[in-house]
Amino acid sequence: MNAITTTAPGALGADGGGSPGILVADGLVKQFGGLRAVDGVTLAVQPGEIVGLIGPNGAGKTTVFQMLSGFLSPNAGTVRFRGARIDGRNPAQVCRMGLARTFQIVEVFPSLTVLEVLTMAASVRHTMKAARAVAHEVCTKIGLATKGSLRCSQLTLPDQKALEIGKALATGPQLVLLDEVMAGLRPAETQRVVALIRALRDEGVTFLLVEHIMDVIMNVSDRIVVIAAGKVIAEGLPKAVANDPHVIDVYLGREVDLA
Amino acid sequence: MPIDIIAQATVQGLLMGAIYALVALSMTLIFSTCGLLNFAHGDFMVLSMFGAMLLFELTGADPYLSAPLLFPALAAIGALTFTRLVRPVLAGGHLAGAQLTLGLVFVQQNMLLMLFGGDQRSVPTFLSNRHLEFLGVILPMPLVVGAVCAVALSILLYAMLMGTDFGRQIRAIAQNGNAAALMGIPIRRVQTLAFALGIGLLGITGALTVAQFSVTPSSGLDFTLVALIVMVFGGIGHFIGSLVGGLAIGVAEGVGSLMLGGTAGAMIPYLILVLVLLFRPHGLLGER
Amino acid sequence: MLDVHAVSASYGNIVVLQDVSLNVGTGEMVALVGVNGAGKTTLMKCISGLLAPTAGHVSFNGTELAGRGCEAAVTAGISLVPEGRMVFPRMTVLENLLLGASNPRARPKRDDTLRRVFDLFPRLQERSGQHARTLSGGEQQMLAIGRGLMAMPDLLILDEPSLGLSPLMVQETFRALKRLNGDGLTMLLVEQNVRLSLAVSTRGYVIENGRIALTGSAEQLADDPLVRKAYLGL
Repeated sequence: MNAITTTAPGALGADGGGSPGILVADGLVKQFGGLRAVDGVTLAVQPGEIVGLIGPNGAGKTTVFQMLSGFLSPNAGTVRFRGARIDGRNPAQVCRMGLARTFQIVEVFPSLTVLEVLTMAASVRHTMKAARAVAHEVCTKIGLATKGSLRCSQLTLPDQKALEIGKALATGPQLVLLDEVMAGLRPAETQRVVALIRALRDEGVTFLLVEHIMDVIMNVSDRIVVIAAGKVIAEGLPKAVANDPHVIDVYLGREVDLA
Repeated sequence: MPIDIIAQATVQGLLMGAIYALVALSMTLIFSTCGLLNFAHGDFMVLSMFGAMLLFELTGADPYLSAPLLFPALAAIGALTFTRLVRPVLAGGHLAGAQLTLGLVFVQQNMLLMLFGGDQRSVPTFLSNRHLEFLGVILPMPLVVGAVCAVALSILLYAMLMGTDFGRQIRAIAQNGNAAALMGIPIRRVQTLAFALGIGLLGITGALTVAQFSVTPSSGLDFTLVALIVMVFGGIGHFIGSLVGGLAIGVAEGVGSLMLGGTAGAMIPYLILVLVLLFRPHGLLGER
Repeated sequence: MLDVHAVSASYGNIVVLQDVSLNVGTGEMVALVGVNGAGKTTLMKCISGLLAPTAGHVSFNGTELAGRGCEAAVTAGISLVPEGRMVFPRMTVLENLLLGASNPRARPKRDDTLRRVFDLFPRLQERSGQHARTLSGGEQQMLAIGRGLMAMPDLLILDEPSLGLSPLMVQETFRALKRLNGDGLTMLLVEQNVRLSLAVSTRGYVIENGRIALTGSAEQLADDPLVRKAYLGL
């Protein structure tokens, strides 16, 4: 196994030199029937980084994401979070260890209020009383201070997205995995979510994002990891990745001789 | 237990099973084309039995003569039920559709109770007291005729599904509704016709078996449950599966009743269903 | 021939298409490219009648089709080969093809069209008795295209025909498409493979975040750095 750089040049968390990273995946493999969806993916996220995981349709990035968050067990390879193995543990355990994730489909509890949802999420770690306090704090942080008693179904889509991040935040995570959190947002609305992610990072939260909206992910990420056909094909600064001929080939396709 | 009694129960069960299979097939037809689990299925059959009874009492017409009349009558009722009730309600989801049909069960049961009372009635046919003896097995003629017709109708239905444009369109909708729409198939019309056909088949089945079963307003759910068991047993949407399932459940019920007595024997089909669901959750011949 | 004017569409409160306009002229092969989630498939659903747009018009040879359902679109002469091929898995190749000719225009000439489809894809004839699910991905794509042709369309729309195919099958599929276009069939090609689709098309549109971001001749678009930006964000 060649050592794919665990600390990319220029990455924010690349200070410790030998620091293994807050989240380290090593040689992940996932097989679905005859299809090897993920074929030896190794990657690391440093504390305080915002890492973007990208790849064309069917590249395997969602499968990688599911394995990183404990929703799928790899056939081979390991996932370590702050040094401890998390592959094979269930999502609830992973969450209590400080790794939270969001879901693409928002509005899972349409009839609960914003504060109720946040309190529920916070109760993973806290007593009900403390959870309520955390919920209020998170509610302000995500810009929904005045909307705490609204039902989730009454929120606008950008507010629902903020709540989705807030739900993860309320569990007191060190690392948040964001699954397509920008999907369906207008360009102006994505800016608000980007600002929220940046503000939370400044408070010490690390982020790994899977995202389809490329200008947003290129803009918000410190570092990009590109997956194609189940393998990491490139990683580095957004600009470098966007100019990598191999990456361009993967995204724009290759011409075929039709003569 | 003497072998000839077991043979008697087996053959009788097979014949009963052929009728169950047809009822299950028409239920499958409606389920896979229209996406409706029709809990009122057996009640449409009961409606046809009452139709046959009424025709007999009013005109003296033999139920076998009424059968060709009851097919279009029930088909028309089916088409109306689908376009006026089922389709609007199905827009609210499968569960809403199933609830609607459960509602229909009680509406019809109570209407029949009001009109005809709750007594069991029987309707004679010209074959009522005749029997067929075959290798020592004695079979009531109405059952034989019902079963033979059920098999014939099943084969016709199968031939229609496999060999005609209409049948292909039905199967296309069942396999992928969106793709079927993209072919320009008139989905609503095909669904309405399939629904009408399914209910129309119950019209014939009801008339043909009225002499075999006693007629009561409340027996619809029994037929529905058997059909449901057969459908799940054979693999939902699986034609041959329903056929095999019907025969198997018929024999299980017949032999089970013989061995264990009526009440305990009636449990056998349900027991088999539980076992199949435990070990082959997609049914005997279902896929995946 | 096809004139899509100011079409918007949404799923619930998520707006997927906003003010999209696009046209395809007789005999053209037009490419529509854009990243996943940009709204390509939704636009195809609006044109083929699977989805009613919330605003705007879809007119085909002068007939308004927006919100009128698939049957109207197919009858008017639009045939969509959907993403993921959507063949009928438990039906034979022949049955799949026959179903393609369900509209009243195509039904009477079904046998002739079938012969032409078999000429174009001899492999479908060899496998005509096989269930569609037993075919390889490439053969299923041929079947989906063949089934689309059975409707005798004036406009054939292909949604992601190269998705999941081996390079060899992609080559074979696109050769067939080129041949069909050469014979005069108008086509709208929706593809993830930008370079390939621009190579076979005369004109192209780039869709980004539910809006048409760029349009031009295929040569222009192939060299435009904005196309790369649409895909890679930078």
